[in-house]
Amino acid sequence: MKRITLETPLGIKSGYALKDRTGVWIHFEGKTSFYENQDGSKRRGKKANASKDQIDSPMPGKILKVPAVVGANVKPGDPLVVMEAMKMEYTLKSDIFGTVKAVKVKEGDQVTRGALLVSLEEKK
Amino acid sequence: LVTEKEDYLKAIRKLAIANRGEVAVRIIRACEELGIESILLHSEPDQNTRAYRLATKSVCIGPATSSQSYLNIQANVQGALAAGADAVHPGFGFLSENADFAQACLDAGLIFVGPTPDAIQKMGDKVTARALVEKAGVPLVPGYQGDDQSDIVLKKEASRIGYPLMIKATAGGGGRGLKVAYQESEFQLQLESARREALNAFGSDQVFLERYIENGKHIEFQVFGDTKGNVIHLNERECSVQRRHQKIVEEAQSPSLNDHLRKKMSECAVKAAQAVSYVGAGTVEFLLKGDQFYFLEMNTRLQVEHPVTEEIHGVDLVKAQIQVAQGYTLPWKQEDIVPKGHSIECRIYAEDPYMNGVPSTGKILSLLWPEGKGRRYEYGFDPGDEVTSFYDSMIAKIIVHDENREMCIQKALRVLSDTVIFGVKTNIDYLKEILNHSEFRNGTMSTAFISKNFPEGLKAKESSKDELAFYELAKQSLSDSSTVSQSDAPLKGAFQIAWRNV
Repeated sequence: MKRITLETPLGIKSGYALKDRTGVWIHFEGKTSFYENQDGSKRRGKKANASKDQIDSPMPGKILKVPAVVGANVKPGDPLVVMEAMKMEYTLKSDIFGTVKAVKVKEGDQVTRGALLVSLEEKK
Repeated sequence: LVTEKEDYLKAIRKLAIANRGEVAVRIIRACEELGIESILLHSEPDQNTRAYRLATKSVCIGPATSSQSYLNIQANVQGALAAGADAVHPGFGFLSENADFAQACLDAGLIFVGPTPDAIQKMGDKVTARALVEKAGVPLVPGYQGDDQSDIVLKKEASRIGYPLMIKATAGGGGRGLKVAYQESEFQLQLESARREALNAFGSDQVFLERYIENGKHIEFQVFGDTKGNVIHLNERECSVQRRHQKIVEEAQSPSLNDHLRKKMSECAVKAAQAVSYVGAGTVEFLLKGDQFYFLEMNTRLQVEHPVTEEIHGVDLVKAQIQVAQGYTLPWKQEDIVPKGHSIECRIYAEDPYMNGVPSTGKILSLLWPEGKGRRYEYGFDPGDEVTSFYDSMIAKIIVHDENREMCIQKALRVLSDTVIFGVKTNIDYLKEILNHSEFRNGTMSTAFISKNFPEGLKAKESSKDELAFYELAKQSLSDSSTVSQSDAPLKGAFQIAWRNV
């Protein structure tokens, strides 16, 4: 970790920074952020499942239950997949009105972050 | 603490710790100060943790999976015996509220630092506990606690109690196996979820139902008993800031109690503890709505948030636990317990607050805890250690103490801003939003605080111009030669540390 000083028109501001293989960690003005390598764009805020009809795993974990059934109609808030990580359960829900197009996991599967779990077809 | 020389005192010379992380470190520190050797009973991957480095001795008791290590009664008892321990401290979580474990320790001739197996059993079975404290004159939340666990009967009882309603694991605690059904249509899904979590975490899927009192406050009293029959209380903590029934921010004392209410509740807490002849540190939890309070449960162990009670009373609960386990009289009388100032604890979770609290795993690269008066840090990892998905995501606690609540909040905010954790994402930004919220500042927050004000975690903000400039500067000045492997590798040799900040 390195202390770094930035000169701004309003004076000198300092913070800490550290580089690892995947990006740069900074602590600046009381806030810690991580900037992922690829042209400095931030990972934070960009959801793993950015597309609403593709339900990706937001974390590594285990699939406990799959309420989603191919062909079923879903509405916002309907549970699609229940998974566990760090001893807690998380339920991934639909954000849209649509039908379940494909289910890629079953109970007991271990998944990695970003793995596709369920795909939906949005009703227009 | 008391120095008593009596024949029946059982001396503890080597204390085994059946736990991990920050609480293991906390117990090791208490042992060091009492001149007791600490023996860490740990899983394979936990060789790379702070507790492992600090313990006098360590015994590997099994693989990463908790059920084969931290939850394995025989492995813990055998490990303690193999290392020559004469006592076991269970910490919190894992086997800390498992009566069979306490009994297995006693059967093996080990002192169990905690209450009797009978007290753990009775309070651990939420149904028995409710009956016991009701008899002692403590008010209860309306609910169903029958043995008939069929879906049909539970659903019928649920309609009788009314929605919203809580489904709780009979053997539960710490927010595991606890679900809320807001309406009948959710009941089945939440019931199944509660049963699954309960079965995974506690080995039993039995549940009970309780009316969910909305906008109530979580108030709990620290109690302490000894083998001579003394039971006292060390006032309350408020832990209303909870997400999915896991506490995030705790404080002592509560901004919501007046002296009259405090007296009534503390009397009930002591009565509940006396109902099971309680020995050691315990916590009696209540839900407070207006000036009505209801018994929730008693936790027969040390609590994660015990430091705030320690800070305002100037006591050491862990050392007292170890003393009482040896047969000493409680080091304090009720009249010695006089709170001073205010204390707040913030739990640091390894998670991404900008992705609704999704767990974040990885290697801790750097840590910086800003030192100062009334600032205390409890943590279980050093730089280079891995935060894995095997265990709880709580990696540290920040505890602050100051003259009054307002100053305490200000201090906590400053400390959170100056704390640096690189390597995993943490909820620090989230904690700051909580402490800055007007409801928290006014002290009017209820257990619905998080779901009402932060239902989706935090929204990502645009980085400021200065931050982007700082990042660009950082990227340039951190040449490849100063990546993790070189600059932040653990320092070898004490002389290097001595020169570091000169």
